[in-house]
Amino acid sequence: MYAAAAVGFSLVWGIMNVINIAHGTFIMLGAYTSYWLFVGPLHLDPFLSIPLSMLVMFAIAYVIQRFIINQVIRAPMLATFLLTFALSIMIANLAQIFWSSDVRSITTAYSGSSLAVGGLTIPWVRLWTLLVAVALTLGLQTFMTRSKIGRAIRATSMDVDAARLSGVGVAGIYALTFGIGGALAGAAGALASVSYAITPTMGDAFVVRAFIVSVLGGLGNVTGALVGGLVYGVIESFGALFFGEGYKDVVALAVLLLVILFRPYGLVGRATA
Amino acid sequence: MSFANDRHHRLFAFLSGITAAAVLAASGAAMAPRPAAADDVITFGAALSATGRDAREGALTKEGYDFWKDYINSQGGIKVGGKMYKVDIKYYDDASDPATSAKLVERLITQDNVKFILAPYGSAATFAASAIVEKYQVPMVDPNGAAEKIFNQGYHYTFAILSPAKKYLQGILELGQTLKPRPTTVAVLAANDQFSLEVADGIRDYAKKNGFNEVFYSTYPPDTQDVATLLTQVKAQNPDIILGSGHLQDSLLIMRAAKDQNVQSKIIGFSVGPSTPDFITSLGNDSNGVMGGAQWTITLNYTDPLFGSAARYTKMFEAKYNHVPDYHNAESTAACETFQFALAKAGDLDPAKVRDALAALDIDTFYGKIKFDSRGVNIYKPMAVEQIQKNAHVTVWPAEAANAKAEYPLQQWGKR
Amino acid sequence: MQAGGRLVVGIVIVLALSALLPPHLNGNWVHVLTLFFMMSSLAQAWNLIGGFTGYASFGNVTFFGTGAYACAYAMDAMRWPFWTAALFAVVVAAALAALLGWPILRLRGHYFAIATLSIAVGMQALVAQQEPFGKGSGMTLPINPNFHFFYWVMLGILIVSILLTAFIARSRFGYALVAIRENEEAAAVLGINAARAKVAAWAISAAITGAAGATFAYWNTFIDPPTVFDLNYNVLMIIMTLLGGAGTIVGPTIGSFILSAIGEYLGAQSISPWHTVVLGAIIVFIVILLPRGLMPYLTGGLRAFNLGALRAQLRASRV
Repeated sequence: MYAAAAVGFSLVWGIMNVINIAHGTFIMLGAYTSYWLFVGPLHLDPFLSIPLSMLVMFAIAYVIQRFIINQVIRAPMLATFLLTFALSIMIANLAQIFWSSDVRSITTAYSGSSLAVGGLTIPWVRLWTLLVAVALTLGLQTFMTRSKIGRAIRATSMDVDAARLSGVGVAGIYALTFGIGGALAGAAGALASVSYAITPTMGDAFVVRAFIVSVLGGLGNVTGALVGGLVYGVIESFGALFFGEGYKDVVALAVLLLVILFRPYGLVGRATA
Repeated sequence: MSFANDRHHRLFAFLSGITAAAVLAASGAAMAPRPAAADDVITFGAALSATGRDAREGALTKEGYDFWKDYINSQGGIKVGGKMYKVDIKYYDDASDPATSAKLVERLITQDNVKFILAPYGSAATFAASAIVEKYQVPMVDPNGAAEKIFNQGYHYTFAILSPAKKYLQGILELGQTLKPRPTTVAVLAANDQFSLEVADGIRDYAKKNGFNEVFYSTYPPDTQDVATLLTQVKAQNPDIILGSGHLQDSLLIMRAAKDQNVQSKIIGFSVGPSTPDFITSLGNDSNGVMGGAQWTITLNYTDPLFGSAARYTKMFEAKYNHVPDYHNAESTAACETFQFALAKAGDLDPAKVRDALAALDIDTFYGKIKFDSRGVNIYKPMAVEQIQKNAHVTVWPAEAANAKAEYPLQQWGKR
Repeated sequence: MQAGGRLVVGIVIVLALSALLPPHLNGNWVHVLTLFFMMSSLAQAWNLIGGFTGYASFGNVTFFGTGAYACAYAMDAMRWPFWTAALFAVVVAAALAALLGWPILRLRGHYFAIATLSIAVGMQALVAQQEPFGKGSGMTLPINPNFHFFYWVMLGILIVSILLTAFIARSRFGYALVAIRENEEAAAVLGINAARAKVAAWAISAAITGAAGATFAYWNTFIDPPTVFDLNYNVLMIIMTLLGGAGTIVGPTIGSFILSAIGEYLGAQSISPWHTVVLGAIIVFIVILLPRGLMPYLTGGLRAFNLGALRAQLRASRV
């Protein structure tokens, strides 16, 4: 789950140098999309509504980047940071206005059933979530390395001006990148809708964790985010086991600090000169 | 860049400017038609969480307050010292921040000249507000700040109508003692905040004194997103009773994790969660058998001079808001009612006299007995225990108020 | 610089005169102004590290919380009087900043931002586990019903922080900080001990923040981890500073004044979430249209308002 939440965040950060605080609210919107599709006449299973949720969030994120964030994309990091922060409080409060603060959630027929392997019980939902996260990450990785657009995106992230000179529409590429980030948030939202309570403020909890996971994995490193997500989950669990539930955040953040100080390129990345 | 792009930008700036102006105007206009502060209106004040973390609970509280206001005004108002007054409530949004609560309560008192304060949602906010009302000697009735720490400060102007935090889950253990086979082992999970820790302390004390064996206790961060590890540890101890002291979202997380890992206990109960309508809609059949400490339940057979009975209150409330009132709604309405009786008894709008009337109050309401000890805590009203059976709430404890027998032990997961 | 200097003197005089106000104000305005002084002090403090030195700290709220808890502990457990407790809080906050600063201030840009953010979040979680600090239940302080007292103390902290900023801006130390912001390697070549200057700037920033936190704790009489380690304080410090003008002497106070006034107006209008949406929209406009804050307009008057320049700047910041 953390991995799914972090992949889009890490992509946008790495390619565009934008820390998207509104990523959490995108996840929230994705979760609501799945919720409405589930309770609507279609009764669409959240796992099946992932593509739709991604499409909706792609469109929203594309528009936001193209018309709002693009205005300050070259300004210092703080400008985009504050801008996305402002957007996140606007989106969360608009969600509350339209959908109220009621706590909603999705319970499917298979919620809570588990796969028993030896002495371990693995909930199906978690297993599927993991599989979807892996599939999305691999899909994104393939897209970035194999497709023309993917190569253009990577070229832009390396050198904006050179990319422009070679005929790449940078504004469009950025909007596309942000849109993909949004789509991944939409997928994460659809996944979250099965395991978490759906509220307008549910996104907050994911942002800080997406932050940590992205750093653990290395910025913009798509597969790294997946590894970072898994590592983070393990650290949290071990922190909770050995130091007590209350210390799990402290342990996770301490590890993060050490990583920043000693391996700023992430756990799986390599130092680049 | 290109000319087209530039024009585009200007259009965007212009449109957004207009939108912002329109929103400003609308937000101003929406609040304009308030009844003027005429002599025959008593205005109460409340800083509530309309946005932020506690927005859901804030909304339930506001429904409870508004229900009373509309009911009273439809009945012609309230009588104080032989004169009829309409009532109004002035609200502000504290954005779920205690410091803002304190600021807004001070604003209500000194800027809006409100003489009677209805407390904000939550213990921390109520704490911050209680220092302000004390300073201005304006009475505040508190429907949902249950932490007793608030009342150990020696304040004289804050009155809590709800049973204190320590009692929240005690009822489940009392009930447990009457069941066969008697459950003996208890696991306690508590959110690390003031209210939840007091609830947990209450249970642990009671458990120790009454022959229960505490096999697991842990606190967890209030904004936790993952309790899987916690439930693994609980499962290893295989307790008869699992008690969670936290908030609605934590309760939902614990329930899901318990099912995921097939943690099977004989009783599972929460301080906050099961009583809210959201709990059943969220969990469906899995919510069956879950117990909750409740300040009030719809089946309690208390009578009331204003609404007649708990049943009649429920009926009227449901007609207005399309859902059964939960205890947040009821205690909020009861807080207003408490003020109403204190005002009638004082026969005067003077805050000091109303304060004295509150201190001496001893009334029966649809919500239960309301009477305060010297600290301003209502220790006279018992807590009830609710259980969810067939996707609906029933009261299973105390025995004299119960309308159903407790289902015990819990069914296996999947059969609930 | 001339117009800027006059502005600073003018604002300090206005603030000093406002010390006479409390007897003539009702409790609401005393409260609103006390909060404004507090937020301004926090923004002024952030400006030293974020504005002058160019290190965008998302962890300054750590020192607010630390100051609040140090004061609460000193007053509650050790029965110290407020002034001693507040001094203790200032020392603890500054020492913590110095201690954390040595490793953390080596990081730059995003990495510094994340490191400070995780310190703020981690500190909150850590404090919430400590028995002497009441764990998640928080701490209570003795009650001082004289709210004018807090008005004066917060005002004092603000004036001191402005004067300190003015003094630093004109000192060698101030030039060193600006040099670090503009080009840290070049600053080192000029013989500036960058590490020491950065740590000193952060410690001073933390001391002011800690003083405000200590006063807040006594004022509010009750603190718990989510209240005093609230990241929103940190975000507000930054927005206020940017609105007024980062790296200027009184910019943060001006930004804080404007944002407080808007917030006060909107918050008093309605309890619907719309007011928060509007606040968000206002921040969006500030970020896009006023990237250098209001200071150029305040010192240069309308001459600074140059539509062409604004458009050129917008064009430069787009792709």
